[in-house]
This record gives sequence, C-alpha cells and structure tokens, in this order.
Amino acid sequence: MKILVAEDEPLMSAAIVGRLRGEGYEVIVANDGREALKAIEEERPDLIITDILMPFTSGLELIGVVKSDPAMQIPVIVLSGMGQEATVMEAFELGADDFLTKPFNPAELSMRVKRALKKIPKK
Amino acid sequence: MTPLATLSINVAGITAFYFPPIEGLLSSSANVITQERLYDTAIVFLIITALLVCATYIYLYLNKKAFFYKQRIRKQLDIWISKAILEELGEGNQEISIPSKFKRIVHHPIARQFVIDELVATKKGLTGAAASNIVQLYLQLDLRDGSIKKMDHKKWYVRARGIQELYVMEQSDMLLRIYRQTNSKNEFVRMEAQTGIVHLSGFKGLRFLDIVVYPITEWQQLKLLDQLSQVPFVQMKSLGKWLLSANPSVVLFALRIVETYQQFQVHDGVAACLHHELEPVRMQAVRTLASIAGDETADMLLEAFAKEKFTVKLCILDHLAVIATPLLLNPLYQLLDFPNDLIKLKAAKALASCSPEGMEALQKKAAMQPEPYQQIFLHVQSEIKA
Amino acid sequence: MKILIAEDEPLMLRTIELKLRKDGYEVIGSPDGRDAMKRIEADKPDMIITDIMLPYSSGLEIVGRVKMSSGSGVPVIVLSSMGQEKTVEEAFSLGADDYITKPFSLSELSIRVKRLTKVIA
Repeated sequence: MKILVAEDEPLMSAAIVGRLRGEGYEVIVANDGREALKAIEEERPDLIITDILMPFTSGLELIGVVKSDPAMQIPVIVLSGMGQEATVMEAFELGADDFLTKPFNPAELSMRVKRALKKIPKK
Repeated sequence: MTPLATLSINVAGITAFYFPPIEGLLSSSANVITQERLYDTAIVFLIITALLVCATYIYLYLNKKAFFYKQRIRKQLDIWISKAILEELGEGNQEISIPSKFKRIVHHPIARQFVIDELVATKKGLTGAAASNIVQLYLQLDLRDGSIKKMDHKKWYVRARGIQELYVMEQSDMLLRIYRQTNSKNEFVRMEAQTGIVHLSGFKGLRFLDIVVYPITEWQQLKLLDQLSQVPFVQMKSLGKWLLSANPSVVLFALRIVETYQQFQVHDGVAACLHHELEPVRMQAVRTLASIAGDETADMLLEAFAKEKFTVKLCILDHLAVIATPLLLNPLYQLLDFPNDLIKLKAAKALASCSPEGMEALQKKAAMQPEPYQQIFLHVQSEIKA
Repeated sequence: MKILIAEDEPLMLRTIELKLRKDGYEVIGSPDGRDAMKRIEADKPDMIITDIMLPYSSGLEIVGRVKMSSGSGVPVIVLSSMGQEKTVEEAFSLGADDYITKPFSLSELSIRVKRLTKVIA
C-alpha cells in the first residue's frame, strides 16, 4: 500500500511518516501542494493524507483535482488545525473521505488510515 | 472490674433477662447477678441501642439530604456550566461571567467537590476551546486552592485526588510539588503523581525515574507508555542511567521505552541487562535487544543462551528467529542436536527464518535422521506457509 | 433532524447536548445504555452518538442493535477513549459510521455530525 503524505511542516510530516512506515506502508513525502500533485501523477498512491493549508497548491485544490478525475479513485484524509472547521466542510463537499484535527494521537491516525484503505470492512 | 468482665456479666444478665432460666436453675443464676444489677444493665443497653439508632438515622438523614441537595444543584449547575463551557472567549472577553447565585452555591463544600468532580471528568474528554474554558472556570471559581490543600491531607486518597485535579487542569506551576510525590510511600499517590508529571511535561516528566525507589507496577508502566504515545517524542538523556537503576521496575520500564522508540544508541546498556539478576528483566532485555539488533547482537544472545535457564533459552530462540541473519546459520544448525525437543523445534524455526539455505539444511537433516527431524521439518514448513 | 446522545458523564452529556442544539438539531440525551435502547425504540432518532463504555448496555450493543434492525440507515458515531482501538474496530465491523476519540474538540464533533447528516440527506 502506497500512501502520499503532503504536509509542509517538517516535524508533523516526520511524525506521520515515521508512524506509517513503522506499520509497513510505503510512504511518499511531499513538502508542498505542487510536489504532491506531481507525486500523484507519477506514483498513483492508494491513499492521500494532506494538510489543508500548504504553499503553492492548497489541500482543497488537491482534493478538487483528485476527486474530479473519475480515473483516480483515491481516498483522501485531510489534516486540519483548530478553527478551520469551515475549510474542513468545504473539503468534504469536494469529496474528502475523512479528516484529522492536529494535534492528533498516532493510534487515531492508524485507525483512520486503515479505515480509508477499507481494511476494516463496513457491514 | 475490667471492662471485659463487665461486658461478660452484662451478656449473662441480658441472656437471663430474655430467657428466664427454667425453675430450679433460678437460684444458681441469682448467685451470679442480682436483680437490680440486671435492670441497670438492661437500661444501659437500651440507651446504647437508642443512641445507635439515632446516630444511624442522623447519618442516613444527612446522606439523604446531601443526595437530594446534589440532585437539586446538579441540574442547575450542569445547565449553567455547560453554557459556560461553550462560551466563546476571545479578546476583550477573557473571563466567563459567573452569576452570583452560583458563586454562592459553590461555597457549599458538597457543591464544591461536586463541581470539581464534574469539571475534572469532563475536562478529560474534551480538547480545544471547551477544555480551556473548563480550566478557566476552575480558576475563576477558586477551586485551585482546595486542590493544593488536598496534597497535604493525611488521607492518601485525598492527596491522590488533589494531584489529579491539578494536572487535569493543566496547573503546570505545581509541577515540582507533584514531582515530589512521585516517590510517595503510598502506591496510589505515587501513580497519580507519575501520571501527572508525564501529563504536564511529556517525556521530560520521566525524570522521576531518577529518584523512584518503589516498584512501578506493570499496569502503571503500560499506562505511562500509552500516555507517552500521545505526545511528541523528545530524546531522553538519562536512558542509559535508568537501564542501570537499582530499581528493577525502572530497568524494565526503560527497556520497554527502548523497544518502543527504537533507541539504538543504548544497545550496549540493554545488552548488559542480559546479565541482570531478575529473570523478567533478562527476558525483556532479550526482546528489546532483538528490536534494536546490530551486528554483534546475535552473538551476545547466543552467549546468553549458553548460560540461561530453560524459559529464557526459549525466549532467546524466538528472538533469534526475528533477527535471523545468515551469520546465525551455523550456530542454530548445531542447536538442532540440543537434547530438548522444544529447543530443537525453536532452533529449527529460527534456522528456517535465516535464509533459504537454513531451510535446505533442515530438510537435509530430516532426510538423514527422520526421527525426530522429519516431524520438525514438516511443522516448520507448514508454519512458514501459513 | 433528531439526534440521540448516550453518555454517562452528566456534564459531558449536557455539554454535547447544548452544542448540538446550538448547531440547530433536536437532541435527546440518555445517561445509560438501557435508557438509550428504550428511547431509540420510542423516539426514532435520525442519528445516534454513543459512548463505548456505558452502564447497563454497552455502546457496542447499541451499534449492533441499531444496525441489525430492519436495515435502518440511521448513522451511528461512537465516542471512545484512548487505548480502546480494538473496541472501535469492533464497532466498525458492526456497522458504526464514524468515531471520535476522547479528548475531542466540540468543533470536531460538529463537523462529523454535519458530514453524516449530508450523507443521509
């Protein structure tokens, strides 16, 4: 399973990447929206975890691109800060699948990733 | 007359009073106790009983009153506090407005404790603005002083409660006072204080491991590890020191931390724990070492294997299977001749995990000497397929 | 839109109730599992938020019961605490729609509720 992590804050990014690699996922890192778009084109990840505010291309734009292309059926988890509720709702309107508010606990990240990858069968 | 003697006569008197002895025996009982005495004791007993009944009634009454009082204020308070929790504080509006009626209610000791308990329980479940409002309320209602006083109470459970209130309400300036309790004689006070300083200062809070001489229970260790997993990782400078602690539970806990956070730099300190006098520490050292294995790790474990008792030997083989470098092929192959069957089996499993050559070697051994190696080979093969 | 909340901590229950009322929902609060079951039967809420640990009848039982009954499309959000990941997985396998880990922020609750109301609408 290949996961793209798009996050511009290095510490946060390192924490997420560390946790996911530790769980055996293949992780691609993007430091901003532009890098993320490129990685999506080239690598076709199975899941995207993206920060909502990023330089160059925002998380929202990213979701817009991914979800408007029917050929790409990639689930997206949005990372948001406190007080970004309106933006998160916008992300959902664009088709985001789930979100996490920073700071979040690592176990929750794992659980939501697992669920987005449909490892836990629904019903 | 000693009180005990009086009591025994009283008992005899009461018995005589309620169960009049059958005729003929009367005279002999009269020798023991006179009639006046019997009445006196009966009256004394009646009074005692009456007092007891009264005390019970008063106790029940007060309890009931407190209960109804709580019920009555609960609804009012909960409605008002939940509103306060949702209040939007910001610039120019730093304080929550508290109606004087509630200020008055909260002066009552029962209401006071009730409000603290509710705030603490709810604070544990919330983050963000709601959580900061709860802390704000706690301060504005002057509940903090009470918590601080509780820390000096002579009853341990009051002290533990005081500590909990302070750390749940993020009162970081009390860190030092809480820190002093991390080595308290009382287990529960100690646990609460340890949880508290890790809550307030994360990995830095682990400095209590420098001073704690009382055991840290398994349960507490797991709880602390769980707490640590929620906070950003910070490098621990004293890790090596904790591995050398005279307190075996500190060593055990440090080994678990090394395993969880992959602290390769203390590899040799962990290896030294293979010689610890306590078996659980040695077992954990084996586990931890396998998780941070370097080039020499396998040799160290083999060396320990030779000296260890049976249970630890098994544990070492399980973890050699995890490390599984081709360097282990030869020594593990030799262990196939070990006199014990379980060891043979575990060595075979480890051998098979090392490399395809390991599996081949096992197969050859089975062909040469089917009893018992054929069985072992099939077993290992089926496990690897699964 | 009627939401039932089952939570045994009274002040927590009140706070969640008030928050959701402010968001414009009709709210039914329930202090334990048995009461929640009764209310689900009687009041037919459109969404259920339940704590995993409840007196009398656990949150899991509620999820199970709601999701079993006549293929109801009533969404369920589970409130859990840290270290209850196993139970949360169980809740998902029973059909829970989302979960929130305590400690959580009320705005997260709002968003997750709103999102699910969009799913039903």
